Amino acid sequence: MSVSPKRVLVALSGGVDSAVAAACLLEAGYEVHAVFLCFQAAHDESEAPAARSCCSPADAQDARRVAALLGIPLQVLAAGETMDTLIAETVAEYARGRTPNPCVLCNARLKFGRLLDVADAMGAGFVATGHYAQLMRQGDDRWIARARHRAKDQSYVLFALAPRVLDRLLFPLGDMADKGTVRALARERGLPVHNKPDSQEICFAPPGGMAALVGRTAPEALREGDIVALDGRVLGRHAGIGRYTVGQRRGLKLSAEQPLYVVGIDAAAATVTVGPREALAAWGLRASRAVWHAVPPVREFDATVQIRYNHRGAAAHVILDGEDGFRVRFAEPVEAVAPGQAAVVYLGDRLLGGGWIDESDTRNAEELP
Amino acid sequence: MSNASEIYLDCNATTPLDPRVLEAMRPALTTEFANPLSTHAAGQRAALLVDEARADLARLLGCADREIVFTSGATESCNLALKGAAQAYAERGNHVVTALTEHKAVLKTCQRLERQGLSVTYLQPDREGRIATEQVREALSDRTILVSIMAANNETGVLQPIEEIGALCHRRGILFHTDATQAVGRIPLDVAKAQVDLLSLSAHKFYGPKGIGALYVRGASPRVRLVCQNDGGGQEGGLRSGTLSVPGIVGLGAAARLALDAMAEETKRLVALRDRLEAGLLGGLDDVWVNGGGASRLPNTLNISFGRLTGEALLSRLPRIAASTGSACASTGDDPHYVLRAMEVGEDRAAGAVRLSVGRFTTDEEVAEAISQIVAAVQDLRDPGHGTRRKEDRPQCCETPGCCEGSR
Repeated sequence: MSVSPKRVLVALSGGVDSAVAAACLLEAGYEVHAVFLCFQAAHDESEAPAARSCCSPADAQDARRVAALLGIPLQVLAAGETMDTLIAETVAEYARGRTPNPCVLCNARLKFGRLLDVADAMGAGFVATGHYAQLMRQGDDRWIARARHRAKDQSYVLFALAPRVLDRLLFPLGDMADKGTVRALARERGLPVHNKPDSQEICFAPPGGMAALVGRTAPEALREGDIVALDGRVLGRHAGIGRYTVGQRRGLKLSAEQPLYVVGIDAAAATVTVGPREALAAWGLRASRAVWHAVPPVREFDATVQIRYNHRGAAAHVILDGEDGFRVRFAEPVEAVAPGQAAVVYLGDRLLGGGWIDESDTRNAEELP
Repeated sequence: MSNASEIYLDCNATTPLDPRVLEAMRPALTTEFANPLSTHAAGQRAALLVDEARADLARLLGCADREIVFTSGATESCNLALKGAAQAYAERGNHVVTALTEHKAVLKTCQRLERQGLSVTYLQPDREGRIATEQVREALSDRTILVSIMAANNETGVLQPIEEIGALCHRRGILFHTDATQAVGRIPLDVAKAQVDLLSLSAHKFYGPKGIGALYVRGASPRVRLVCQNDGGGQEGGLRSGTLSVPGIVGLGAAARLALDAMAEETKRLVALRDRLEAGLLGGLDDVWVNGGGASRLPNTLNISFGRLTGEALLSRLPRIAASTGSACASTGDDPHYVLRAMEVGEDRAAGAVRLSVGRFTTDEEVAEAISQIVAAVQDLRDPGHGTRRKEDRPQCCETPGCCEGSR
């Protein structure tokens, strides 16, 4: 089938963002086909809390309604086993005392790959999603840029997409002024999801929370252990390293004169280290498994580095290290840099690439190499 | 609705398909034929039809979409509810409480459960066919896992105190199933208000198609578990496998929507028709009793006993009136009058009982006509030759008009 640049495959999630994205594409004159991605976790007969599938029947219903209203065909795309791998990796990260971001992994390994497979099969030149991000095109250069609506910018979760797919992407919501505009557009077009709340958590987290899921395959991550202070004193007991993340304050059940925060997690020792807020300040980090959308021309350069989904990004100096790693030195200390999260590198608003945080460096800037 | 010369007074057996329901079903029967589980666009269109019907039914019952399991009808729903719960809660207990006046779908299932080792208490109603909440309370034990009491009786139309029983069961942590087949679409029902955990229904009792029904399964406080009785493709959340009958489901949804809209007005009209029928028969005859007349009843049902005759004989004299002597489902062997017998109305009354049930398409004229036909037939049966002697009854001796008048 010949590929048509006028034909686009849009991923409908059942939410308002993807619905409006599809509507915008229709209005821009594209021939729009919709797909509802449904990655099922392995079906479990037992009563134990199995992972949910990423899609709920209610979401599927909403996607159907939106497609019917827009007059576009909708097919359902499932991918069983690959989601299991993702879930297993996520659980393994918790067991290592790290804080994973499965959504970023899913985008890179599952979602966009599958979308492109289907797009290729149906001769669609482009795939589109409701992500708040911009795909910039200039000559032969393609890059992801932050969304116009800064507060909703989701470019962070797209850092690990393979560079070669950028050319096929469309993000209709990238230049929307704000979420209110998007909801208003949805209302205007009579889309039934205009006031549906945004989903907040990991799609496959069971109703009880991730802890239950982690406990099933990595019970050691839920084993009790010591909470220790920076100087090694034992301050109390924790309920399993899998339940904690760097920067966390709640759930520690410690009484102290000053608030204490999780500063580090040692999976081997099964300990959670806590300290005062100042101890959260990181002057640097080490990241690996980097993906560069545009290979940096020099070994070190200044950039903005974002270390969490809702972190605004901090001024930093990036130094490439080895084949696929890099180190970051922040201009000002950054709080709660958590191993396992993604460190995404921006030049201005342009997403250059990123990697996965292996460790934070709490030494002073002067002490950093 | 029926043939021009027929008067259909058997709506409790089944109702005709409302023409608007037929129209709603048309796309599902023609162009939207795909399997709703198929992932392709055609399948998703069919799935949307199912979504909408599910939402319509949920609105009628006052529940959430995901609490509905589509089945082939109330009989299957009752089987799934009773067997499914008995198996799922086997650790909790082995005692079920129900009533002698339940539909065979419940009674026969309970008898099967008894053969499998459960104990079942069959409560006897009072003379008017009512089960008292007190009776249920007294029958409960710490081994009781389920109570099953119908919302409205199919033979007499008698309404049971569903809300009170639901509240009682809820307090005691016991599941409450109600066979609401005769009530759904006819009287207001709210599963939350009634604290019902399981509810069975069939579309064909409220102007929907035959072969489709549903089981409401409470999803929260508590979340009811059932062991699936139909294994296979895992449809309906794994509770009932089998490709969904999209045309049936669409019909059920349309019927539910129409029932919700029409209920208030229709109830008034049906009560008036039923009361006129009742008054007409009571007024035109002696030796008649209304079974369950002292209880709250469905707006459309009249179960009436005529002394000195049998219901079968009467109906055979009324070939143009469609009615029944009891439950249509009881005519396959067994005691066809078990409900009235449980009410201890007496042999004569049980034998002479006829069930008349009006509906959406019953007209005033039909009721008037039915009254006169029934009255005539009853008088005829009790007293052959009363009124006009028919030609064939006259003695063969002569044809002289007036010759034999006045003589018996």
